[in-house]
Amino acid sequence: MKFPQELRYAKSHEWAKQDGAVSTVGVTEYAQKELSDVVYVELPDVGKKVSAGDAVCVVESVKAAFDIYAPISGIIKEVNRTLESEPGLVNTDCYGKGWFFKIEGTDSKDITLLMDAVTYEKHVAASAH
Amino acid sequence: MNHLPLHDEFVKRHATLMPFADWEVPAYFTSILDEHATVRNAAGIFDISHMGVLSISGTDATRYLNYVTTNNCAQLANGKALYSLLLNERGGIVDDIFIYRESETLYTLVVNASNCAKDFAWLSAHVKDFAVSVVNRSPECAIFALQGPASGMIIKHAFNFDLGSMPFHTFRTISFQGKNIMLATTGYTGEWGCEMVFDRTAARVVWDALFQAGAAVGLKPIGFGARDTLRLEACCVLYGNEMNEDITPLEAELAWVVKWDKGDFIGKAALEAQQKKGITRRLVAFEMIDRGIPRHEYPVMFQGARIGTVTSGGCAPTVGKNIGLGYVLSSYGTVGTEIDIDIRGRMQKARIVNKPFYRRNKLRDAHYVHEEKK
Repeated sequence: MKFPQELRYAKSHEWAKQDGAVSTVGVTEYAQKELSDVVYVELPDVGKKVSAGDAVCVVESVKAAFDIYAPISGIIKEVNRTLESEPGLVNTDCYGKGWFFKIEGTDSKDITLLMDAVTYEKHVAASAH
Repeated sequence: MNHLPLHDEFVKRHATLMPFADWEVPAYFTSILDEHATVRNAAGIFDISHMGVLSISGTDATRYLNYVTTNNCAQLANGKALYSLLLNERGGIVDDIFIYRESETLYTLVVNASNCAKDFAWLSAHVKDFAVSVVNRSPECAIFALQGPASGMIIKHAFNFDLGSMPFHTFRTISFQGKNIMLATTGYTGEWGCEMVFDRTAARVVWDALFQAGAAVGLKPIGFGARDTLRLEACCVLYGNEMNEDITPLEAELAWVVKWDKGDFIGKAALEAQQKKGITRRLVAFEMIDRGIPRHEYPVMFQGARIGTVTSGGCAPTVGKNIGLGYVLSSYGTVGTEIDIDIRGRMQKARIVNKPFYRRNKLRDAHYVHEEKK
């Protein structure tokens, strides 16, 4: 499984890619494999204030709905509307076109609290059954 | 946890496993959507050996079955399969079953895995006025379903038997490598195909024969995830969701399975009373207008007031919609009525529609067979 080096990772299997004050957020390859077919994404409202660890939107597989958590605190700047018509992008391109939303971070410390790729890979190995 | 006869094969194929009743079963092998499409476009095979197989035999077998189930076995020809219901005294559904009539004095029943012990106890408790015996053959039986337009081709190559010669809901016993296979044109997917009941010791041999025959058309093993999406699209009901001991056939739109003029049966008096009074709730099929996916237990609303509950819901990959089944107050049950489904606190618009959501293209399936004959 692939865990790009330049990303940071949350225990709940979201990734964050920082670009100045704004971070793009999606789910990792481990998450999309566990979900299997993603058939629906309920995106958060732009402008919504979120705290790190809050459930901010929902992703649905064929069988069940799952919460997606904000990896950092901030304000939702942009959402990936393409997921509304093409939810399968979460499975086919989870680090690229399958991104969920962008957060303008309010605390620059937050991103450093996330795991790096090496630590996350260990976390996945421990989670896997 | 019980294991299906082909469990080791599923593990070898890296199937994602899940619990179902007391069984550990494959949820999917590749993905639910892929397996769903495979059954609709080619063929898929299901190991459904968890289901119960009961033998009813004796001089009173027909009279007995007519008493303990709602449908009429007396007018059933030998070799016919019949969908029926076991009811309790309140008219509530104990189980939905298939009855296979071998003769006036010999029947095989296939029942839901989750209800097998309950059904066997229920049926056994009612034999005392009848010259009949009920035997639970479940542990010795394997059951496979082969479903999809390529089913006929596969059965021809595997068993040299013409599935196309069998009318809908009939069964024949064929012989394969010295074993008997009860082959029935029944299914739970809305596709052409068959279900097979045979000795559990033959499971591996039959599986391999079907896969060898089906390799050319892309036959795949199908998990329980796609089993559910397929049956929902075809509007087949699921015990535990659309039916339970507190729901009657009149409410569940299964009045067609009840034969009033065959004599007395368990639950008849209660159903007659309910028919006189009128039902207060009914099972409806609906499709979403807004984007959300309806699921089991979600509230059904009408202009802000609760009118019912979703019993089964999900996405319908072949028809390209999100769909569901549920109970609503009778007065709201008309086709065309616009309702709301409360999906995690958000009201999402839906519409009551005619059943089924999906109907197979019989012309396409006939064409499939002709191509093979070339």
